Amino acid sequence: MRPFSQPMSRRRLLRWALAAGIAVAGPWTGLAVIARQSGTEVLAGRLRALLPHRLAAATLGVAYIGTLEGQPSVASLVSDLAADLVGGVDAALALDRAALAAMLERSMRADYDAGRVVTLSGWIVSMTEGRLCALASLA
Amino acid sequence: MLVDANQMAQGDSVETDLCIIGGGAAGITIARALGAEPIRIALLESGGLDFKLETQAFNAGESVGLPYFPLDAARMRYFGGTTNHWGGTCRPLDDLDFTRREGIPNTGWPIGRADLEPYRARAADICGLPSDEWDLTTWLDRSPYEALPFEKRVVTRVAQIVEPSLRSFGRRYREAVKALPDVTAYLNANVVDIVLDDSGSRAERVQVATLEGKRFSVKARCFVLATGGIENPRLLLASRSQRPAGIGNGHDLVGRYFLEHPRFDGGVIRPLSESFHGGFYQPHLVGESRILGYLGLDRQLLVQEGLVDVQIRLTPEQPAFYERVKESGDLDALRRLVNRVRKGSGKGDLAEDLDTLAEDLTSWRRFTAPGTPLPAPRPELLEYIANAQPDEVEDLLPEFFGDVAVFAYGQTTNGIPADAMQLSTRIDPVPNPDSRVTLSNERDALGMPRVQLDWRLTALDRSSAARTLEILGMELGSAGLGRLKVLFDPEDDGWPDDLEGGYHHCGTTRMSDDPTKGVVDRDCRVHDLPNLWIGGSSVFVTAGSGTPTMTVVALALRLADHLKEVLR
Repeated sequence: MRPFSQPMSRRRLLRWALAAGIAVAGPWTGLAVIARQSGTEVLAGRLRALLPHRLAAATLGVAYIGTLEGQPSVASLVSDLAADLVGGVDAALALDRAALAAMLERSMRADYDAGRVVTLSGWIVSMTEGRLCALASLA
Repeated sequence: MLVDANQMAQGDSVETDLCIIGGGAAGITIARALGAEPIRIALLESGGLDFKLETQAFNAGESVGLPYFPLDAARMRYFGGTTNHWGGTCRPLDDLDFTRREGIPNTGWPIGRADLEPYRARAADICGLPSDEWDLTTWLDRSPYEALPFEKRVVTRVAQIVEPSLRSFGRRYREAVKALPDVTAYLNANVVDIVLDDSGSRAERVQVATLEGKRFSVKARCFVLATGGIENPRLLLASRSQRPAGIGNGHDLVGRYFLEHPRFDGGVIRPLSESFHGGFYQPHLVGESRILGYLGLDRQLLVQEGLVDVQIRLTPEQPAFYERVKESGDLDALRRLVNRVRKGSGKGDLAEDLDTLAEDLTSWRRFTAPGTPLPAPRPELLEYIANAQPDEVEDLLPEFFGDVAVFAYGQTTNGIPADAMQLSTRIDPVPNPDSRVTLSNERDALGMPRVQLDWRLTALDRSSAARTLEILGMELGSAGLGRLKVLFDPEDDGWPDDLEGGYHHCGTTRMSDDPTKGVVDRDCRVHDLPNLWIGGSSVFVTAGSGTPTMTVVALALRLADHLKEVLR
């Protein structure tokens, strides 16, 4: 029988610490992921709500996704759309509708200025608009 | 003096100093410019003073390249030539049009804009323009409209439009030509052959035939061929009795490099801004001048990106209610009344038109509540407006204010915002030796071989149009003005179904200092003949970003100055 008071080797200590860490932090990390996912979904919904013609946007969104190498996720699109904002998605979540629209407007104009455009069914649109439309198509 | 060639004696021979073949913009301009000189001039015009189907039939030919207008409809064959169906849009060529462009083959004139500058104001006047001003800011200062606020790569340029009554050189200058003492204009005189002297080194005479069977010749010290960009190569190629390849064709260049201004609806703009009206881009009067703006890329950008120039005209698609207003009977009544005031009499029933107009102008009365001390709207109308969508209210504008008032509003300031703007896209194409006019095996009523046109464009023409529209789309987005949809597939090898030309036939006897690269020299003289010159747009090296007629006239004035020296 191993004495309880047996001194712990360094490796063993680390193993314990790791296990304890997972046990303690695990649920919180999981909750954070859930919270983030839910924040992403909330922001995605608010971004979609800015589109006046959702169906038309979704059609362009399908075309936009067709120009990409892989299928984008809602999270990656939302993250890209909020990328210009310091604080990203979290900061975007704090914006009201008007401020969110203004943020997108700035991104669009910056795209047009920098030549970051894509042609979708003939329409010349900014990358920001392409992502927004893709978001509409993934609803 | 005007002479009907059918009245000439059979086999007659006319001797003169200068023989001008063709009574269009170039031929008439040269005759008039030299009219005060002691130079005997014979001006040979295939047609009469008015359109005749039998003469027009000489223009028929076959088109084997890109779809093109029927060749007997694409130009006119009577005194005044193709100005008889001229649209009247004018803009001289820019510096860049004359420049040899890196990456764009076969560009570069041997002359520059400065060579034509001394003739530009006169050319504008001869064409019927009240002004020779082309600077945008000058026109913007006086126009009621504003240019679109692009600050970077897209620019607005201005064209002027000649009033319809002044466009036909035939009608406008008929009496002036008739009055020139040393000028004889032979009508119904078709040149069927250019004959060289025995040594084959000079043009000696031209053979003329009429539809009524008369044949005679005109001998001259100098000849100017000025029958248009398709007939000029036709006559040179058909004059092969002494030179089997045709006259001036020692290097197989005659008929090659046929240029047109291809145009099609390349895109559409959906305006996002209420300020997007586009009034400046529609024909409108500024003082005595009718002008219109159009869009293009900044010249420096064209050079940087190696693009040919593309000109974009905006045609508004107005809201449905405004389109209806433009077609309304009330406006017709107004137009008839205006004509009546101008002319003293006119069509239509005066009383009925006045009634119609009065009723239209007081439309608002139908919507006021009776018995009120001031014209107050009916309560049910106010309720309707409060609950209606903006476009529903917009539809009611003519009902409230009348068609005439709404139309007048649409015509003033920047008017009714457009639902969309169609983009008529016109290209200054790459000079292409495979785009060409040749002779067909068919012959016309006088035995002349008919023409075959093989109109071709290049991939650079298509990609330049696509890139121009893309840049315009980016500028619209950047300025928050709207979004642009391209209506053709730039990856497709073909051209849109609505592709057509602008009736601008250029390049088929192009100008070059090098006889192996051009048919005429910088003075418009055929390289291997000392006494044959060519007038008109066939000497153009590029079709240019402007329209050809003013440049045709400026070149004709310059040629007249040159001939004055030669014939002295």
